[in-house]
Amino acid sequence: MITETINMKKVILPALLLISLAGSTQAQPVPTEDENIPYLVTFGGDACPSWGDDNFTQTFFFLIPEEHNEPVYIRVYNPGTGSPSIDEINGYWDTRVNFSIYGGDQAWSNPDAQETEPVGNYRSGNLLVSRTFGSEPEYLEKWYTFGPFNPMEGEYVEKFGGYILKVIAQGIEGDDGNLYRYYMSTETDRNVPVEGGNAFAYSYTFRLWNDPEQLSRIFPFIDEETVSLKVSNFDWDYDGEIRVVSTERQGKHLNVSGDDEWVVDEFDIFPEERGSTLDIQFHKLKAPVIRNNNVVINIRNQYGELQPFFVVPIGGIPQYKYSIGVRRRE
Amino acid sequence: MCKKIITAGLILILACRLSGGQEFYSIERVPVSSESFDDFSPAFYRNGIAFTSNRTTSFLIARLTEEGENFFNIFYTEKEDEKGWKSPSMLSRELSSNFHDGPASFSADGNTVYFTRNIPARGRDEPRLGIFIASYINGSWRDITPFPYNSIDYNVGHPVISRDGKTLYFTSDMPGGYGGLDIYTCTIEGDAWGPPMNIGSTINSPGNEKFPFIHPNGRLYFSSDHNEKKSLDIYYSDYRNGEWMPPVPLPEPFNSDYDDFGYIAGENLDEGYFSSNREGSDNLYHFHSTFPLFTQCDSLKENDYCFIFYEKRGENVDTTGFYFEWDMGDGTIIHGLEAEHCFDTTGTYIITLNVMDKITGEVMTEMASYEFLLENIEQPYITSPDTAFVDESVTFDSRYTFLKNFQIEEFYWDMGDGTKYSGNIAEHAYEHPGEYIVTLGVTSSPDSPFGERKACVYKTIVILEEE
Repeated sequence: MITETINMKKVILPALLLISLAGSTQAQPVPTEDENIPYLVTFGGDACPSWGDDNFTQTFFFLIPEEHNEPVYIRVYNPGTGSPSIDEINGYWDTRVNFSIYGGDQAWSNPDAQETEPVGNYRSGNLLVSRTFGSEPEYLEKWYTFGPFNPMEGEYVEKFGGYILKVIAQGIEGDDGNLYRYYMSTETDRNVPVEGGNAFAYSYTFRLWNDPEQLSRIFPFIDEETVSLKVSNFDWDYDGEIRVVSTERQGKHLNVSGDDEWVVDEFDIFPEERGSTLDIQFHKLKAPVIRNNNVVINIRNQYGELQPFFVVPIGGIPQYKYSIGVRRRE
Repeated sequence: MCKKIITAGLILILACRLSGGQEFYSIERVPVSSESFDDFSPAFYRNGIAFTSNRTTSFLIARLTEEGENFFNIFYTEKEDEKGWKSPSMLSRELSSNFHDGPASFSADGNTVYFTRNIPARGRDEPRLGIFIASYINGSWRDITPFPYNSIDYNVGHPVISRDGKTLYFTSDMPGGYGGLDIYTCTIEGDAWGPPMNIGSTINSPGNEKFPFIHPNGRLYFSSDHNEKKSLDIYYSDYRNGEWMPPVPLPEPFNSDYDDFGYIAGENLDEGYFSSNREGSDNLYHFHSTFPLFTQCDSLKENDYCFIFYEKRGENVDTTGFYFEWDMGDGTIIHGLEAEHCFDTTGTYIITLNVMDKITGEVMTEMASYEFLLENIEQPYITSPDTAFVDESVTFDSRYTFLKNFQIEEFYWDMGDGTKYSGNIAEHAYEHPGEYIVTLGVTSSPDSPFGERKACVYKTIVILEEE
């Protein structure tokens, strides 16, 4: 009697990320166009966390596919503070932020490297290069290039199918907000993507758009062992709503934090969501418009393991597929 | 009018349309029965039938009636295979006397026989009929005991015992009846038979009522010559509310212009035997129903065109951030997480779901569509009133039958009161109040692409007393 024409097909993703990474060509901007996040944020070490950075440190891991054997460069846009149109000043520019790049054994695999807080051996691996930026005019609103790096200088991780370079941005002193972006490039003086590359972080500190019509999003990949998630967000200033979307989830509402506070929301993962990417969307308040809002977010599973945010969503951005069911009226 | 088709001289296939329904029976003479002898009054016994016959037996060949004919004895035969019957043999020497013996009736366990036997009459009168009872013990019939109400002054015969063994039906012309032979009953009371009870003038007439048969369902069959042609016809009567209903004659092919009697039927009334002299001598006839057997019928389900549409996984997640708009495909627009809708008729409807995001204000059209094929329930369908009055003509219609992959050949109606019809429509009037289960069966042609198939459905109709 009843014929269904919409046939929901869930995209089952492989546990290994290798296959998904191989098709990506837009990995290198961080944040990416899909994420639509204006800037990453790291405040100086003397700043107040209530300004939107809980620990003045942000760690990103860049993935270089093992098939890539040409040098790569890590480029940073606006690495220093002092840009009145980008950075966030507190009184006067007095902030210094250090960028350090690590490779080799333990760069990623050291447990401290995969935590949110800059404690223990979070700077594990071999330090390849380090540079601290202040408010030097020559770096404002410009790209600074680290490298070249031989991909094999990174830590080889089999499950990712490539080499990992770790980039730590850490506020050394001062209290201004440093807003910046990354790009992993094959060229020293321009942004040319590394085919199949990607980048991920376990804790994301970034700036929300001032325009309430802009939708920012991040893409955590949920491993096969995950049953439930705890999403922690910091200093959201009650600016709108966090919504979780997946192939199985039309839009789950999460509570947002207020000023200088953490809010944790816990929810169960559907079996079909295991081994797939979630789309966490940040819908800003239409009014009043909150400006210069810096926020932090991380996600842990039921074992307390942090789930990585990939700048290029593994398997693509999940789309919820509506499906109509019918039953007889009682 | 009825039509009689004689095939090969032995097999009669008859079908007729009567005001009370159609008959779906085929009869054939039992092959062992011939014009050379008189065979009558069959009774179910073990795997075959016991019957009364004056056929020759080797050890009785020298003993004849005054007219030079064999005496009647009780014989037994059974089917050998699908085609043939075993040659009849005398059921038991112990049950054979120097005069006529038979008919007989057997208890449900087969270990007690009630049979008719000649007994001497008063003076020089013709011998009387009496009933005798015997028990089957260690391989032979023993303890032959006369029925206590046998008499030298009148006949008592044609016994038939009820399924529970407590009531004996028989015929007698004992004084106090309604004329000729009447049907009586005796009920066992402790170890003794209670007094004979005439079952009343509804059954008994000034003519002769004899050869009774009581079916396990309580229906009484008997034969009577109280009719215009003065020959025996078979009748039946149901016992309702403490009284026997007016007798109903069996139609052709059971009754003929000749003597038709000694009817017995199996559990489902779809097979049995009777005797008739329609071909000269008394012969045994086997009948079986040609009405298809429909089993495991479902109760009729009413078609319902009302449904609830929903977003399948919306129940599992937070849907408060969205509005749903449903286009039901028939011009109806419904807002809400679920859409409850009753369609006017069957058909194919394209259901589409539009979604509005409350936060962004974005309207997402046709996020899902659903081709909804609304059909009637696949079943034979009976259109009829649920209630009617006695003797009110009721129409039963099959027009809304919906069966896929089914090339309907014929509709069959079982009205629940023993009446049967074929055809798209059945017009029927019930004679008695009560609840009747009406069954509609459908057959397909064996030559259809989907082979020979059956489907059936039933519904209950309540018949009320006339106001």
